[in-house]
Amino acid sequence: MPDFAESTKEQTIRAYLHYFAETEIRPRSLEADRMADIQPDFYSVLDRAGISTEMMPRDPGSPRPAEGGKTEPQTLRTAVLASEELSWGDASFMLSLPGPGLGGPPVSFIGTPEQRERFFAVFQDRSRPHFGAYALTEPEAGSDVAGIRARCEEVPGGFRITGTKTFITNGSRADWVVVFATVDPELGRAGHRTFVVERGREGFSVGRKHHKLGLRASDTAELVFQDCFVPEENLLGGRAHYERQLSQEGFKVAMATFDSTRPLVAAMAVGIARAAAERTRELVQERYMLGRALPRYRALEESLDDMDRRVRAARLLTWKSAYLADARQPQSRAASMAKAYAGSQAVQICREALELTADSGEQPDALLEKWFRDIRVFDLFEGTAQVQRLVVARRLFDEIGAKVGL
Amino acid sequence: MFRFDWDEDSQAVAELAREFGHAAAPAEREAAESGKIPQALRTQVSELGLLDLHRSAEQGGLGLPALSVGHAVASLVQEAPTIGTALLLPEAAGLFGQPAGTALVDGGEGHLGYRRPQSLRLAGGQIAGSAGFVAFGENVASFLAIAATGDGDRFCRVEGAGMELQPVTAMGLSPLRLCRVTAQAEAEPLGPCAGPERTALFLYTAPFFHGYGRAALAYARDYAAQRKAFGRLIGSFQGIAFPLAEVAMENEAAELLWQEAAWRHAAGEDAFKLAAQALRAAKDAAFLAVNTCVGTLGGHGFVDDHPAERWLRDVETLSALAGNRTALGQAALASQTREEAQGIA
Repeated sequence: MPDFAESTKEQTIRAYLHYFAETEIRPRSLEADRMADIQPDFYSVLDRAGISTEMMPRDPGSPRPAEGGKTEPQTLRTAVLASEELSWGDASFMLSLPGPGLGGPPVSFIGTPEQRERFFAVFQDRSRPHFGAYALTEPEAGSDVAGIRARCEEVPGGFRITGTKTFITNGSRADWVVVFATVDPELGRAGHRTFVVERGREGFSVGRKHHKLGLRASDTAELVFQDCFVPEENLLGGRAHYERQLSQEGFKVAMATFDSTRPLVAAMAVGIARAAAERTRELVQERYMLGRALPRYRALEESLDDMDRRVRAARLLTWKSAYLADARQPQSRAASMAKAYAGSQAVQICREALELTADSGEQPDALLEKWFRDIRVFDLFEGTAQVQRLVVARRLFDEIGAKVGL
Repeated sequence: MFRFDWDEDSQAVAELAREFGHAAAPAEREAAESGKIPQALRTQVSELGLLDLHRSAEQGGLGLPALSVGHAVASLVQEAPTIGTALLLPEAAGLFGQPAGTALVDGGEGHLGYRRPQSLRLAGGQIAGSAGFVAFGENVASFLAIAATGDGDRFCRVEGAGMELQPVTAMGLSPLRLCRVTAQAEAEPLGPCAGPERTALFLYTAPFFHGYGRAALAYARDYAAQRKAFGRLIGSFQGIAFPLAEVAMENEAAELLWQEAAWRHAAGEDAFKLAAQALRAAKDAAFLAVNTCVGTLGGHGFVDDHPAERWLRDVETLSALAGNRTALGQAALASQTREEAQGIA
């Protein structure tokens, strides 16, 4: 039977992270946006609070070592709660949490035990923040994952990678990056290989940091690989993994990563939309027009209520996709529905928030203006709105075994 | 920790309902055209206990929670939308302890003082007035009326005498036997019809829309997977496929909103606002689904060779019965914004 009760643990996590977001993130938010960077002192605050992407499951549903050597199951359901609360504070800060980030799932999914230990070890060091990153998108291949052009050429002892990756979150400060490249573009998905490339390797450099419409405090960089040698032991899963699978394993890794991270991204959009809806409600309650309190205008009442409903619906879709992932049930369709719905609804909500509050020549509320800029990318990254609809539609036809050529 | 699976009992009942709907589906068109449901189906659905899912064990029902009832209703309606709705919707009085054969006549003002142009008034054991749009099953023996009292709505039980029924022709759902009621009768006052009771009604009604939404999506998808245009299956065109994805998302969102509202209602929380929002979302999603279905079929969607045009009419009729969007929107506002507004005005 569907159940919507949060456990005591979940309530505690949500309350703790909300408090942290309210007291430590929100006060830094606007300045970080202006600086296009996170204030350095934030990381020591974060460390003391014990918050990192380690809260996010590397391998959903399976036990993992927790701090202090304890073992406890970490679920995607807990992670989406955390993602929503932190993004309610500021999604740029959420994206800037130290940890493996999007690079974590592929290392967990197909990395050998030795690779997992080696690449995750760096995050035990608390002397400074450490980051992982995930480099799939290229200037000419974003949503079309199968069309990547970065080449990997086999050489004695390993591979040489040449190509450019773009829009890479935490790319300029990552300790290592999961890089997707192809042995032969003509092979399509079957030619994909997945590597972990450490910062400092010869031939690996940061091209430029992108200046963005929103999420400005989040590091988004271009990465350049020029004959970058990567030893064989950095081929994720090892050579045997690809020989065993023979075909589309690299592509599947990329897609599996998205299936596990789309709920997290959807939860971020929910957090921003919720923040905008709450702030709008606060602002309109302070305002009068024609001598009448704004909330007494019925159209405005309905708009506020509709915002609330759409935030709730987006959250429920997100929760369901996280639940299915935890239950190890197919959730590609659910993850794409959550991402598409939450992204598009949140964009509309943030726009309506500006519409409802920027009256009488007053400057729009600075946070609302920022969230309006921030939210736009949630219809774009981790697969555009169109790609999500493509996935959903394909899964619909899959249900009846129809091959329509979509 | 939140979860979204169904227990075995709920799943078994829903599967039983779906199988009945599947078997009844071939009779859909004839039922819609004649306005009558074959007696064999009425007998079968009764024997299977599907009319009494929401009634308590003391009344011979299964006493299932709203979540399980809705799951079964949507499962039946998705297979046989017109018949399923015509059979199960008139049983709403069962939510309030009434036996089969009791028609619910909602002539109250609503929980929020939402004034209808016509309504029933209850005073001194007498009910008078009219109610505009009431769904009746066959063999109606008595009425459970919701009437305004000047101090909120109340239920009252009315036997047949003094209740004048005027058949109404609606654009869809002809087997529902819609009527306008004019009352001048003795009535037995019962309990109040306030937030919890309205919540239960909203929750009972929404799954009918879910069923239509599912049916329309499946039909449009199946059509898109076999119909060719420009030498290709039309499902291969994003102009066809993306709206179907949109319908899938809105259907799912509406069902989840309903699930949460039903769960909170069962947990004893005030779920009035959530239930009103869920019903409104269900109406909107169902319309989007049937309208998209008609559009996917193109000209074929406009003619009665396919059920799409009938479902479009049905959903609009069902929407009128469920309460208009504005009323539901206002209902949803009650527990938050309106109180806040009144607090600062």
